[in-house]
Amino acid sequence: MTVTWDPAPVLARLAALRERQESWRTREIIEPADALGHARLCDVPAGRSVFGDREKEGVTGGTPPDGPDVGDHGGEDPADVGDHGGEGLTGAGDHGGEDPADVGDHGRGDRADAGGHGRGDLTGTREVPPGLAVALTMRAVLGVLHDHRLDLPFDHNVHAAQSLTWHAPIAVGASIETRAWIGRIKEGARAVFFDVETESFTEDGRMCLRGTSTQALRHG
Amino acid sequence: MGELPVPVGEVPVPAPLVWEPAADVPRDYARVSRDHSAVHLDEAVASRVGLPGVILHGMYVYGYVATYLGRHADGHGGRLASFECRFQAPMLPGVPIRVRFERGDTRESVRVEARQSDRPVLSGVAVLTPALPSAGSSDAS
Repeated sequence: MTVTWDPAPVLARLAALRERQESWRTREIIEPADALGHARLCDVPAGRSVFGDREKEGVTGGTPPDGPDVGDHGGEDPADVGDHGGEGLTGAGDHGGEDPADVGDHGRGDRADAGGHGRGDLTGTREVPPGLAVALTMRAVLGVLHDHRLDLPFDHNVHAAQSLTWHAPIAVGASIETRAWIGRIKEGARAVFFDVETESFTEDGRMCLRGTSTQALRHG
Repeated sequence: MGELPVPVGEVPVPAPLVWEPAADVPRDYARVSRDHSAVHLDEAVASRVGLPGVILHGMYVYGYVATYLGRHADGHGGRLASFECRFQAPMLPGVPIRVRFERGDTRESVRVEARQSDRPVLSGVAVLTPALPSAGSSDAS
């Protein structure tokens, strides 16, 4: 296969940031969107980290600010990201132009401590569905992928694999901090593969989510 | 130190899942995930890199399936513990995605296979943990 970009410097940059144990952090508050308990992600201003000083902090760029999320919510779509036209077995319905970041109410009734930066006044009523945790993880991974120091050839980048393990419920109102770092790097015959590892923590330091995102930079 | 709780029962294998992501899903999910990569938003760029059109975010499909699995487990008193998958091919909006589930190698694992236009697009394994007995219960059946 013809290689249309030079893998060597990309591999070197990935390896350099991994060797330096760089980590990238994002922090989100999961806010309720309406009285029904649907939730969305919101940025959290920089402040105290649940990681304290034990982790070296890297550049956190790469996730440009988004406009405020507004609108309703009410969906039964498993992903609850608005109406995507599905009328299949999941009963995906029309949510009528709502915020795509909203996620549905699962009503587990779990409680979680979301003091500090979290919305403790709003917390502890409902666990958010896995789809929201996935979006939260994606935002953290993008912090790595968009780091200008890596200068990745995005036209060749594909998401090759993903794993997530849920360690604790994530409730509406919780403040979730995610740390991401570069894991395994491997050059294959058809692509350069590298893992972005993520760990997400609640405000009180409990790990709630652990993930590995495998990215492939295709040759050619 | 007390004994560890013993799981009771198991979460049954979910029914197949079929849905058709609408054309505006990539745009909407770009807002959610903040992944504004051109292959998800720009037909011209997608075409230039050999794709038939803009493609879905893999994490959209992953999250959709994970939420379906989570709801299924929740409905049986259990929960989604983990989900790992490989993305095997680009997935397109406007084309139904059909997902089949089978029992995996353990009583808690479920194999996940998704196809679009009869082409495999995602395969993986989820772990659905069953309910734990209530406090004080000694029934390990």
